[in-house]
Amino acid sequence: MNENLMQILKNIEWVYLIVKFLFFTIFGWILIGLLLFFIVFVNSRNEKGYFSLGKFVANGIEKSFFLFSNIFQLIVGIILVLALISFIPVINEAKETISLYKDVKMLGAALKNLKTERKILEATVDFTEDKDEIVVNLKYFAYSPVRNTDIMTGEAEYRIPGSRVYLDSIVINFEYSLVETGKAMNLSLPYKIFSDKVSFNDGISINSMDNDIPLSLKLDRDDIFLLEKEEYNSTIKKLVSTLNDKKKALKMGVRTFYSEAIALYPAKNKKYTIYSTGSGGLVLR
Amino acid sequence: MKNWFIFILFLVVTGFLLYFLFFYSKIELMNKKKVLLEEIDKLKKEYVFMKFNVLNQTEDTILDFVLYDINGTEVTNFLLTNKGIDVFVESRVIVLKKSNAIVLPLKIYSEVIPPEKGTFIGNYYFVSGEVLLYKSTGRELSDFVNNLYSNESNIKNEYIETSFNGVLHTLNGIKAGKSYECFVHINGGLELREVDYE
Repeated sequence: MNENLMQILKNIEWVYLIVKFLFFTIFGWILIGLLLFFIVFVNSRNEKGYFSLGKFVANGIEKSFFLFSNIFQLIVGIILVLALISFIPVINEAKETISLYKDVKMLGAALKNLKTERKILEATVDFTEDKDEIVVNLKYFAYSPVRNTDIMTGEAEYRIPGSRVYLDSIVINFEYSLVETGKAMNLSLPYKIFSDKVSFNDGISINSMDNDIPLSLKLDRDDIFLLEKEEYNSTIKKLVSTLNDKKKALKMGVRTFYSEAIALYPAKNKKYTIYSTGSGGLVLR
Repeated sequence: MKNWFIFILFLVVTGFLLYFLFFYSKIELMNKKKVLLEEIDKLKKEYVFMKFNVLNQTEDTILDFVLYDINGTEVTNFLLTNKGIDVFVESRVIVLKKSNAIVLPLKIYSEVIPPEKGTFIGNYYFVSGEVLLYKSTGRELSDFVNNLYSNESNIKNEYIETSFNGVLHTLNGIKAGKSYECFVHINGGLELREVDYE
């Protein structure tokens, strides 16, 4: 719709430029005068084909009389042109407004994408009855573009000694330009839990997979856009395999990739939710 | 003659009305664009609060840490020896409702050292009751952070959107001769990146 309007405005501008040149510039009037002179000159030949001054003068007087007798139409024409000229600033304003509207729409979408927070994990954390260990119940989530929401893809329970637990995830942040345009979405893959007493190396893997696909990226056929499920799964496997290759990751538009753990304290009836953010990194809510 | 006059008058009046309509829409859109650009810039802003250089990596890893204030000015630097092949940087992140995040690095440990045995680094930037990382931000925020550091639980929830401890570390371990930057976004997202050694 906007493209069509822009094209119409472009065509009107061409007409305006021609009229403006002919009637509102000295060179335009010189051109009209030359044309008039040429027409009178061509029609000023006698029967033998020679130029006749008498005929030239008579023709010139005739054309001038014609011009004066049609002066009303000429004035109306000039007023119409003036009216048309008054539309030129309108056309320019319209063009600028349309272009700005496009920019604002694009920036609004970019801001929305950067502000997006995708749910990765929901966790409840509590002590066992003898307070020896922490019980962590995790719910995994993946983003479904079809439903435009985060859907639960699995659940698991883990136990670890300590007084606070750390949920560690691999974080993959894409170039801002890719996130802004919606071509990529920052990812986070839950990897391990450790605690204040248990080091990362001695921690427990929470990298739950289903058919080699991390639960944070697992989608059913109905939740996948455009791609077939097999195609989607092979893309995910390829992405996960590039994490050890910095060059390949950069080529795919990855800006930063690292691990981030979020500390959670045992609390009855408290639900922690970890989100992956559009601008980069994780937040806890 | 009269019809021509009315037609031309109609064209001119329509032209003026459209002109003002587009003119004011344009001003409105320009303001909106400015606000959107500012918000996007804010979200993309990366506040580097810590950088560490891996000086040596034999049995123990020797690390040179530099802490920066919110303006990117170096506040302090210190050397630490760590065991293992990775460095874990634990920080307190406090996201304020005013679209701002405060980050306070707390501990350094590794993949073989559990958090409770990590090295506390708060004393490198909390000097004489002041958090040096936020000293240059103006009285209001600086006082707020000083109170926050001393006793977070006393700070009213009405100012805080969320707060948590986030731990940054690499995927495959750090490398001698490399530098790493830790930074935070205004929404509290933490990031770590490898940079060229300077």
